[in-house]
Amino acid sequence: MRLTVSIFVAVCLAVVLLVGIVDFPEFGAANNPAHNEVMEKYIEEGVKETGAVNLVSGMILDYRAFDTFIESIVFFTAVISVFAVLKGGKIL
Amino acid sequence: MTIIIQNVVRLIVPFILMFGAYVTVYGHVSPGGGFAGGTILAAALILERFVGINRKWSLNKSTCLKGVSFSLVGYGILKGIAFLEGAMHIELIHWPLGQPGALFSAGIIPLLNILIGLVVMMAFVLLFDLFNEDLAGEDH
Amino acid sequence: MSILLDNFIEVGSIILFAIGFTTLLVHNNLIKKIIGLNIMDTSIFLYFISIGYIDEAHAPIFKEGVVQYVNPVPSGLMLTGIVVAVSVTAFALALTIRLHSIYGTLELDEIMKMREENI
Repeated sequence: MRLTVSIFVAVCLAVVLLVGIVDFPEFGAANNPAHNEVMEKYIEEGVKETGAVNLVSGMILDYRAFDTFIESIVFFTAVISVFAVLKGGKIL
Repeated sequence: MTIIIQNVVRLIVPFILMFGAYVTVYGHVSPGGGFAGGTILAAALILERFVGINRKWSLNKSTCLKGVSFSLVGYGILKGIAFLEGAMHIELIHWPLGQPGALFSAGIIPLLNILIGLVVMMAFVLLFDLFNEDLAGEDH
Repeated sequence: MSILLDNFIEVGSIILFAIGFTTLLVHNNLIKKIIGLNIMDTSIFLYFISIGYIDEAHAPIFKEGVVQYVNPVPSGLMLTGIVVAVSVTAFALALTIRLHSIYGTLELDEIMKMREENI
């Protein structure tokens, strides 16, 4: 009973999402809407302005360094909340 | 655990630590960076505790918490100085850019990679200590 | 129909999402539900990273004489998502340990029965 209802709900969700894929542009084409002028700026002037050969590292630590900062704060918050659940809030 | 496993782990942990440091510090030249390098370093230290090796100078919970807090504050100060330099068009500190492809290049990016690697490593070791101690306290 | 066969990576990620969702709903054990959550997270990362692919392009490491690089923006954004998934898993496991220490079992329907009898 529970198995059939959950499989039916999951299959309905998958079918609805697959109908949306039919309208996608071609896979791997160079003029997709996902490749806009932000990517061109990062590729053309990435090595000159940041000096990093690895474009992804230069992007997350120079152009978008605030995102990395806030994400490490999120990680730190998860560790503090594990302290609060398991030790009753007492740190040491 | 038995003596064979403990001795093999004692032999192999320095190599894993060195590989993790390499992936972290060369984050601006080859694929890798702070997060992947920090995970490899944490895996080596957790393997030691899992097998049963107790060292005299291991990281305890208070050192890990202090290390994470100071690294986050250091990252915030460095990024804050760079942000204000760009926004107000003044030059406080001159970071040398160097040759692309060398180790000492790209300004402060290697320093930020090291700080993120330390944050991730100490957070994972802290989580393992919390879970292990809670389970051991219930059984005994 | 041929579009579904061309974008087989996105179709695979949607099927993984449905499998993870079924795992979350069917099992009674709490650890298996957390595993289902992790499978759903991984499928979304695969979906976003596969959007940035360009045919016959080089990986985004600078090299002399390369005309076109792969889009580096979705890969950089998903690094943040992976860390968020790890944080959620760590917190969920801590709550599971706390539940086990109070009720003594990990099955969800037994916990609900115990809560109904007490109240």
